[in-house]
Amino acid sequence: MKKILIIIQREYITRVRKKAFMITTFLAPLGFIAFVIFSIMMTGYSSSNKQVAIIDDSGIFTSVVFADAPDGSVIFHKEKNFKEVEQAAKQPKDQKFDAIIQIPANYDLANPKKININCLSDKSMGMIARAFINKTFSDKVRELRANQLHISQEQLDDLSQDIGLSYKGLSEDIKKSANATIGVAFGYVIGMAIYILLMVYGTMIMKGVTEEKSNRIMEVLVSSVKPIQLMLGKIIGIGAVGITQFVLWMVLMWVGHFLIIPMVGLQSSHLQTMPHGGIQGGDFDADKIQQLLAALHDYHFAPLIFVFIIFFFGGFLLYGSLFAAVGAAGGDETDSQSLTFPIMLPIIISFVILMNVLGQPEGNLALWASLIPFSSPIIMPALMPFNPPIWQILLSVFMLYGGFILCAMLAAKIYRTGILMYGKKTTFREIGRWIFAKN
Amino acid sequence: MNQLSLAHIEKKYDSYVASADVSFDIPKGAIFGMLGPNGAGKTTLIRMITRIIFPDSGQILFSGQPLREEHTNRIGYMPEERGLYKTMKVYEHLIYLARLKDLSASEAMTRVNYWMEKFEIGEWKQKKIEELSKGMQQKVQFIATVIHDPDLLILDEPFSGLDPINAKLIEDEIYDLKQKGKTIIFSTHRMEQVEEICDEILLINKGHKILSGAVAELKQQFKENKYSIRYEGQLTDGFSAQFDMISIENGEAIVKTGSSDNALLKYFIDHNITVKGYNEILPSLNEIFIKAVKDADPNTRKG
Repeated sequence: MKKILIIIQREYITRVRKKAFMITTFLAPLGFIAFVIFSIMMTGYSSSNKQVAIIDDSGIFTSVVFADAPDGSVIFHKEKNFKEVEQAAKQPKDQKFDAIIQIPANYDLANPKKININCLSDKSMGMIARAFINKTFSDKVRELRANQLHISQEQLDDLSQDIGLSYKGLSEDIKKSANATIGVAFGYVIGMAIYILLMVYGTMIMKGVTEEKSNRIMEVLVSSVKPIQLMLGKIIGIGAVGITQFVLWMVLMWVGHFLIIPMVGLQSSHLQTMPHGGIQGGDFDADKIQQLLAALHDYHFAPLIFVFIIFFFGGFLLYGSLFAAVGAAGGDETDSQSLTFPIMLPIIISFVILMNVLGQPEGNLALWASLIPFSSPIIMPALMPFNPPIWQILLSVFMLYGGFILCAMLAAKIYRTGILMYGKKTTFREIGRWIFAKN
Repeated sequence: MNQLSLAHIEKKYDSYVASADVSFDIPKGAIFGMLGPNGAGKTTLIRMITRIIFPDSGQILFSGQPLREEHTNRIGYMPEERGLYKTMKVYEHLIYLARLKDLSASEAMTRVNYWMEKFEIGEWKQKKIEELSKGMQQKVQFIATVIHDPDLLILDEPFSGLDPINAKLIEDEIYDLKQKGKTIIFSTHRMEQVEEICDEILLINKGHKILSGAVAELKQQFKENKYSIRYEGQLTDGFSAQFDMISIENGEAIVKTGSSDNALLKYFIDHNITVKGYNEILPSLNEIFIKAVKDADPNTRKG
């Protein structure tokens, strides 16, 4: 037992210390977060200080003061002559304005039509800038119209409040559907993560064993420890590397969500203060996004992560022992590759099943796939957001770890013989003989 | 007291017999040669002693006790196919291998330091194995084999790929260990290499034991009463009639006498020929092996 711990330690430390591990663990999620932030910035604040010219041909807005955006992202200028402005805009060197708003002479407050905004600059207007311009105009039109109809400010506020109440009724529904969406998304992400981790770390085990064989250190090692100790030590050590990486990713995501949510959250709350329909033509719904984020925030991650680790580790032990056996049986890398296929296949099939199962998380396929040890490591954690019954989870865990013990016994036989074989191409028939040979 | 004792060891791989009823003893403190051509079954025997594989039948005793798992900590094995983790640092690597032999971390460090200084590779501690020269890697390999102060040292083809300086170093180290009462098994197909080193040998071929025993005794057993005599002067015609002459060249005659008495010397004295040198020619292990294999194998006997 002590020797297994020493082996685990070596397998773990030599890998965690590697530069490649540091890079994939820290830089990959940082890159991802940076990418998300960057895309939000791009759509949100495509550029600041938009100069907007307002040409009021109708004269309705003469007395109205258009307030600039508080953060200075939009600055209004009242201009008189459209032709002049248009001419000026055509001079590429002297682009005074980014957009021109022309209010036609026949503009009627009682029957407001859409006002054209001509974008002049090459850089398109950001979502926020558009929303701000829309809001400003809607507010002003409403104010003027209210004046015309002799509606007091209180009455106007009263109306807005009504609208606000109807929002609340809607938001419960949104929250529910948001949870379902998150369920599928999470299921997919989890299944995908386990799939990738199994493939990456399974291959790592196989390579590790092949390396020990081609390094010719194997026989030195097995004169000190039992082959099964060597095999389990390697699998557990590399599995621990995988879990370390996963946990670090989760921590980084948790930290990252503090960075991302305020950015998105700030904007959505900013947008929400607008009257209904304030953003037109935008293809996202501010409320929905905020609800999704809220649901994400309220989600109980701890049990999910716990189940994920149990299943990842179980699946990893099971597939890991098979990968180790293949590594031991194969003489060189090309040899191993052809032997790997029968192991890769169930992992790939499980992933295909995953797509199907997320659509029908309570179906028969989902049940069976979550119980069979070869697919359960991918399917069961993916089903967790859909609250499967507890007996299903427990039975699945039991079968997975039972399956691992059987696989490990089988793999150990192949491993023990394979590691001492050199210069001979291994066939499946040969492996079969090793399994059934005594000792 | 025998360090190791094998009785009726059998091992088969499918139909291939790797070990057929092999029995032999290795006395404590002996340097024991396990000799035979490639494929004779030497490595199979070693792997059974190191508990890498297990015999189909037969018994192995270690210091008089049936061989058990914990005995592997008292055995140091340098396999023929040997290597190290290329990207590990020398110091860490040796600590790792020492700890796999159940040494505590602090004990392992003390001993690694001692051996690295002894073999003058102390300044290479923090280098990766792959940065070391072949000779230095072999030193590291040898340190790994003896780091846990084993009672039984098994060296499979120890000199293959070794430069003469390192070979000498390891040879000296082996005598040193023998002085400390350790038992050493040499396995090799190059018998001339171990002829002078070994006290006892086992000759095997095709999984069968051909013979075993003390080297000196075997030489006596297989000697053919051959003598070499160097002289100054002329031999008389009667010489070749009296003795079974094998060769005569440059004042040295090699003859076979029926007995080991001094008849040959007497001839030289009687004929007043100056004798410069006289010695018995004992068979080399190679010759013994070839003869023993011929005697044991019915297929070659007819030829």
